[in-house]
Amino acid sequence: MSHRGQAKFYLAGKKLSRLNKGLGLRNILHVDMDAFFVSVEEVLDPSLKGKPVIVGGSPEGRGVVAAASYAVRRYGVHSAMPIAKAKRLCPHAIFLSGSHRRYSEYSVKVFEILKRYSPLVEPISLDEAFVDLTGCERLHGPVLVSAEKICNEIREVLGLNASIGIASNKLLAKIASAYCKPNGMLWIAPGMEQRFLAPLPIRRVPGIGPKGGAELQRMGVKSVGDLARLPLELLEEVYGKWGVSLYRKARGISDSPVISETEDPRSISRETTLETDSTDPLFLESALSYLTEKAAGQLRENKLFARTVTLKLRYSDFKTVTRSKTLEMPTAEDHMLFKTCAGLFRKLFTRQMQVRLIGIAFTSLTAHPYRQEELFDDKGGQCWDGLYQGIDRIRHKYGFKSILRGTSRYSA
Amino acid sequence: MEVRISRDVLLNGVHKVQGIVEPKGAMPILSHLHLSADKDTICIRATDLEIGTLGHYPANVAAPGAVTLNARKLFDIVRELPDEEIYLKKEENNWITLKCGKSKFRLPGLPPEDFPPLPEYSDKPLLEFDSKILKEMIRKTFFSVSPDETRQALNGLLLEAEGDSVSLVGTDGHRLAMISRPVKSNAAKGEVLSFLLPKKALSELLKLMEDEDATFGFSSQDNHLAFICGKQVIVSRKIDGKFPNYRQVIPSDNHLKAKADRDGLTHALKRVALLADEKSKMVRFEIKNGSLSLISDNTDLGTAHEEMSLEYEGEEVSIGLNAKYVLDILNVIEGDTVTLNLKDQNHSCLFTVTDDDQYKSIVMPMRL
Repeated sequence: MSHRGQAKFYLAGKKLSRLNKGLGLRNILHVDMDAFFVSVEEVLDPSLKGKPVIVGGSPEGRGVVAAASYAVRRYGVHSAMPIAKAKRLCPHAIFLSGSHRRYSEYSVKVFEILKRYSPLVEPISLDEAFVDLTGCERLHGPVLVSAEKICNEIREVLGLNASIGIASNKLLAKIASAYCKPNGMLWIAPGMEQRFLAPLPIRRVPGIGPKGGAELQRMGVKSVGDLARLPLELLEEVYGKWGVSLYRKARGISDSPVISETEDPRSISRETTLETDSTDPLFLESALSYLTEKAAGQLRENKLFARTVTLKLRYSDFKTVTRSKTLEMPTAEDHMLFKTCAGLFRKLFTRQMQVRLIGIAFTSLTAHPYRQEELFDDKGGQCWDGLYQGIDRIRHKYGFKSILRGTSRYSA
Repeated sequence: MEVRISRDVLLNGVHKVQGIVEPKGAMPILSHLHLSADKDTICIRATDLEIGTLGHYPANVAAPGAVTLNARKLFDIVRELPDEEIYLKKEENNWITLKCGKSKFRLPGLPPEDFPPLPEYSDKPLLEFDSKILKEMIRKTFFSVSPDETRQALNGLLLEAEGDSVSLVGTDGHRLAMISRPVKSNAAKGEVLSFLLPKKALSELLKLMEDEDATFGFSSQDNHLAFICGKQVIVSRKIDGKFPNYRQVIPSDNHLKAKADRDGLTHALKRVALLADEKSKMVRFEIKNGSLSLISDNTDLGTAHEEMSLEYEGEEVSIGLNAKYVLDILNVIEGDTVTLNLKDQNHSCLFTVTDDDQYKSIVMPMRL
């Protein structure tokens, strides 16, 4: 009996999803809340329902739109737009300053529901998650039924709408949920992947940004179908690793697993093996600056704040050293994180040793930053918030390297 | 040098200067005290080159002269001696013999002429403080001084005097405390005095002020400040740097006033702070008509919630404050009540007390 019990456990755990992955039988959901911040506000104050609501601070301020209700989106207002512009486009909109605390409370409730359906829930942000329902059919019924149940439960318990994409991997599930938004559900049945993807514009594929998209367009590649017609050798020759990933994405192939949130705070890290080993502190610091910008951007994208910064150096003899520093306040601001990294680097890198690899890691991540305001900083922390929101907005539109810190100049 | 001195007098003199001495500095002589005897007094000096102190004590001087002795060792020995007269004699090669009762010690010293001289200071006081008032002023502002050594200008208190009023201001960039009191001023009419008093000099000053009813003169010469009380002097280098413009951060339009029982608030806050985030010590203050809720949640430690009544009428306001900053204030103020003057959750919270409009403490909120 005990043997059977063990076998069962084995099948229900990760091994099963790996097994099914080989067979292409995974059932992955991408659950994406519709206009999350605004919807939460509507639940708290039902009189807002159907009205043009904008979350993101006072219309006199210089903040940006954090979320816009669908009623406002009709006027061309979208998230990350300056509040003042939103006010011009839709003067009668209701402006709310919003509360991160309230949204995280609701987010926790959404995740509680998702976790009832599967232990494998991977949070992407407050309002977005992957759920792996592989092997849960006997428990919850067919995947479409479970997905509908999830949708209904979120609506009934919290009064919020979610859009769900269902497919055999994360890539397709995400494309599907974006396709059926708002308040929709789309299942890409096994075998239909290519037919679904082919007519989509390439920008719909996660990982193809404005820059990559433009480059592909120049080559005459407009739809995912066009991309799928390019041979692997050509893509690899032109784009290297990215080309290989494009080849796979165009075919809807992705085998990255759904990783459930662990109790320990996650970490965000970046490292790079230098093209040639270097002892030039200026160059190394520049590499560090670039990595910091990348990782800090990722922090902000996930609405997280890091308290601990770790620097990693690998010398040409493969000896690896790390140094950490814990900050007084958690932060997601490049200048604070880079100051700390650079401080660690200057302390550690005192001998002229050839550096082969340089990396940084942010740990002790928290979604509740509790940032202490400064007395003598006239504009207050909101000023920095505005700067980084602006930078992120520019990068969202024109690509990551469209705006960089001066210190990153040798590495970009 | 050859002197006889009461054990208690020597112990007191040696004890007061221990804080200045650097036991493990780069210069060995700075771990020593300089003792010089002349006429009927012995003068004890200590310095770390930033600040220095000297005190004169009555002694029976048989032969004048000077010695240096390790400050810590001397203190440890004198502390253990019986309450009898101590005999000190300089031997060859800067050795010192110390006898008391049946005890006898031989101690190595360093050449007294190598001991750095105290900077020149002025003995003409610009301001004359009543020690009780000076002590109160330091106690009520000292906690807000920044411990961050890289922010030199914030590593001390700002002293400003105009007419017969003097104020001390301390800040670490997140909070600020200021107090004004009357003072006897010898400065020219209309002259505004402004000095930065280093943290270490202030804590030494507090030790000197154990004597309740004395007058402390404050003087300034070139780069040095001095506090003089009778035969005791503390000289300190001035802090370089510019103290931030504190006047502009004192709120004038914090119209939401909530008056709470000081004791009740202290205890409630201490309890709720037990579950606050270890680093930020953030506690949420939710104030509505007649009641204050202190809340700590969203941490791995659990949640804490306490409600207490307070005098308040107005719109509901919720603000996140560092519990330690608030407790530091509650700890130094007097009176049964404390008033929180607020504007909203994004602006500073001003703490005031009823009978003293010359004391203000400001805490910046935390962003929720």
